[in-house]
Amino acid sequence: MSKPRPDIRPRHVYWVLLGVLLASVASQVMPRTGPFAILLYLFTIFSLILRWRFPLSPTTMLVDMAVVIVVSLFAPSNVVFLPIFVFYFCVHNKPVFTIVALVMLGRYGSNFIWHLTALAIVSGYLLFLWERQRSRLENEVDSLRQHLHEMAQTEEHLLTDQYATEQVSRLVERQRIAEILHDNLGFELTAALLSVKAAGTLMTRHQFDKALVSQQKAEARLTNAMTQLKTAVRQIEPQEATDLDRITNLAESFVYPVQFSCNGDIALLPAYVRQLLFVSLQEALTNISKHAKPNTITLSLETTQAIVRAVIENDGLITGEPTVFGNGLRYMRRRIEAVNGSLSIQKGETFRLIMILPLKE
Amino acid sequence: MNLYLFAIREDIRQPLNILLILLIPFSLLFIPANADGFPMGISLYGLVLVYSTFLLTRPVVEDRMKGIVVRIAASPIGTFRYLSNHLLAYLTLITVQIVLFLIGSFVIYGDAVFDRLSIFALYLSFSIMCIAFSLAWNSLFRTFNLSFGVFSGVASIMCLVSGISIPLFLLPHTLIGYIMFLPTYWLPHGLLAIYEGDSTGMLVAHAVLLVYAVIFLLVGSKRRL
Repeated sequence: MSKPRPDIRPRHVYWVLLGVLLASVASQVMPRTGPFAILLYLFTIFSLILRWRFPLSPTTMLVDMAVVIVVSLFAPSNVVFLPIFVFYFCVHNKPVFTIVALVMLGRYGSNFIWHLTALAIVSGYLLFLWERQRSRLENEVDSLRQHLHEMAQTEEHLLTDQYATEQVSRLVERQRIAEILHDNLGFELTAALLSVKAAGTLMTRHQFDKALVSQQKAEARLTNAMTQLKTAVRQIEPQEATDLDRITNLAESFVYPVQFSCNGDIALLPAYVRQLLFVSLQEALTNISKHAKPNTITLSLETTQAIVRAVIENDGLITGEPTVFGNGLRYMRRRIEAVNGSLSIQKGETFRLIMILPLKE
Repeated sequence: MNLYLFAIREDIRQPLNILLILLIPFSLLFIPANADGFPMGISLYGLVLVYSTFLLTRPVVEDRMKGIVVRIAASPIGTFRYLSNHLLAYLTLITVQIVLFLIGSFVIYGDAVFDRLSIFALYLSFSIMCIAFSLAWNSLFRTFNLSFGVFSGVASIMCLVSGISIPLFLLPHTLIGYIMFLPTYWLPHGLLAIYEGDSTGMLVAHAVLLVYAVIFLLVGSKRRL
């Protein structure tokens, strides 16, 4: 695997340009150099390396430049070092700090030094603009990453909350069933029990007519209880037919024709997983409408003893479109995996999305 | 045991270092005296200093290569303390070598070598520069062997053209303007200034060597994990 090419950054160009400037200065100093020029040259390098090594304010460079300016007042040939300081201040967007140096260069500089200064100013300012743009973009990318991270965290919280809500609603539902059973059936069954006991007592006393009346009352109470039980069950019963209807409606109302088939009972799925199945199918169909031009879409739901398997297949792959899975698919996968399910994709002549959802947690 | 003593012990445990510190410098004392300056051995000793300091700084490089620096970074020992203790330890060993060499020069040359205190000070400045240079040089390489291989070539050329291996007066005058940019030039320059009694030249040699040392230290002391 080949290594990714390192990108060129402003600081790389900064050091290259500094190298060019230092080499140009050395070419001016070298043939007739004296020990003091060497010392000044080393001092300039020291100033630059010190600021590379430690994050000092660019203003502190004024002190170093002042040293060179004072030396240049006594030995004007040393103004050749000033373009390096001008470059430094241009890179750090401090044009005011270069005024004295530019005056000195104008007074004592040669043609070569003026050209060097012009190069230092132009390249320094361009580097500054580049660095500013780059840092602005980096900040933007950082804030987007932060935003994405926060969204992922929120999603995690929502999934946890969803699970907790499901637990709470299950408890509430149990309580509701208990209340219905107690309110509707408790009274009738108690009355029926008392009637049966009374009938038993009357029969032992050989009062068969009264016992018969009591038994008829008990039968009426039990019939009433049966009716109320049926009503309560109808009220409590989950609306599995409605969930299947929703999926059927989704398939029928889709912009492209969908061949829908369902085997088994999806009501075996927990309520929140049924909702997740519906939302995932909705997302998958939306993706097809966005990224494909199908002639046929098949949607099949199959319930086995352990899982529900949903397969959506379409033959409308747009050739040449890169396979990039967006956020919708990514979030769908995470939500399905959160309930111990799985999502897989098969891409050949057709595009096939397979969802597996477990019946038990 | 503190870091300083540990660094000294680590260095003197290697037989090559003992050989470098005690034996090799003395072989230079038997090179015949020079009519226009100090005996050649006094200047050639600069070459020994360059290689001695490079080999002595090996533990710092190996610490980086073996990843010990990462463990040190996680310990309460700061980078400054770690580096300063190690570098001071190497300087101590080199100082011992310089003192022994100067005592040897007194025995062999007698009065032909004078102002030994100034020579000692110049050797010391040169050693500081060499230690800093080795540190900066090694920071450019990932393995010590590669670093030493390239260094031995570069250092030989530097010493050859800057008046350590060949006396300065034998070099073309036009070349002097260029080789002044080499840090190794300032040892023979300083020795010549001591021989001629030029105190300004001597001070400039010290100043340039120490500025070079600071620059190399700044480059070499950057923590690379």
